Amino acid sequence: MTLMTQQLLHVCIAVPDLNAAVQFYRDLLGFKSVFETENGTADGALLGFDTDVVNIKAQHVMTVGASPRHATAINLVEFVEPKTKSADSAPRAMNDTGLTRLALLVGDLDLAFERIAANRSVEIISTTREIVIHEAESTHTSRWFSFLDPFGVFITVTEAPRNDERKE
Amino acid sequence: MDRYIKRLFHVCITVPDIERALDFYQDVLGLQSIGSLRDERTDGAVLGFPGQDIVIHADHLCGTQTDNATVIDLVEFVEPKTVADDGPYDQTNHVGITRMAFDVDDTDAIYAKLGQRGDVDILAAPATVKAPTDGYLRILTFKDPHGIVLELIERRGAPSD
Repeated sequence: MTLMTQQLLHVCIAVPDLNAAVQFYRDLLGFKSVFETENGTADGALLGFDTDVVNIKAQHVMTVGASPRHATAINLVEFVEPKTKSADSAPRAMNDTGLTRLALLVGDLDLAFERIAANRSVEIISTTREIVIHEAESTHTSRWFSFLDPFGVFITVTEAPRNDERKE
Repeated sequence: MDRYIKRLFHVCITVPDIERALDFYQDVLGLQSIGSLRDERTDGAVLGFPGQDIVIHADHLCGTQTDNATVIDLVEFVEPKTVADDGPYDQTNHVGITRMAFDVDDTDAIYAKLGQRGDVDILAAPATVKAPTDGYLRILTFKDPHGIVLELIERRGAPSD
């Protein structure tokens, strides 16, 4: 079978306030902006609307040092017209159907937790825990914590697995 | 400031039936599974289920560019089960993670495959638009069998390549 998809290009997060979102993703999480647009005539059909055009503001953010040819960007989008709809209920549970979660890889999990937990706009869902994954050939142990960003997006954070135990 | 995040590691899609989802993501989009878990029992706290174990099936999917790629973590919840009642966000301007875009070789070839299925909702048929930087993009958007909005983007040097 021919593999037709090359890569995950970007993941879109709709937000009510682009400036607040960029501040969070850039200033706290350390992403850099690689593309910025204010587009009053964005294609409505492409984004699933009945109208010909929609008015959006967007910034694509990426981890520092990432190659735009290989890395997946996060596309932060504020809908101006029609406006971004606020969450009308509790944040999605992880077993709700659909796009539920982003996972970030960090170099130092304890440092990342310290920085993120100190920000008053996030809600920590779980402090750091060891997660053991049993695969057929081996067992992987990794450390994770999770939080909700200021817009209710569920984000898990991990560092590279510390140990791989091969099964005899 | 410290740049403590290395990269976007994965994006999680929760589905009610992983085999049906794999049928779509592998056979239609041509993604490849690079790791598979079945009936994996794990601590639920990190995923928002404090004090309980959860059981999941999962596959990690990536495209042809595998170097440091952000993978898709396709997950079926077995215990507690995936909730399918409301489906994903109905509109792309709902606050939260609403859409994913893939870099593809041939938008029209995938569009033809989608047309053979009865379970996808085409939002906008393939159209060629000028790229914000160089060249042109051939773009298609649709809702996958779970209702998730996906966008396919093919880069082209000229509008009619």
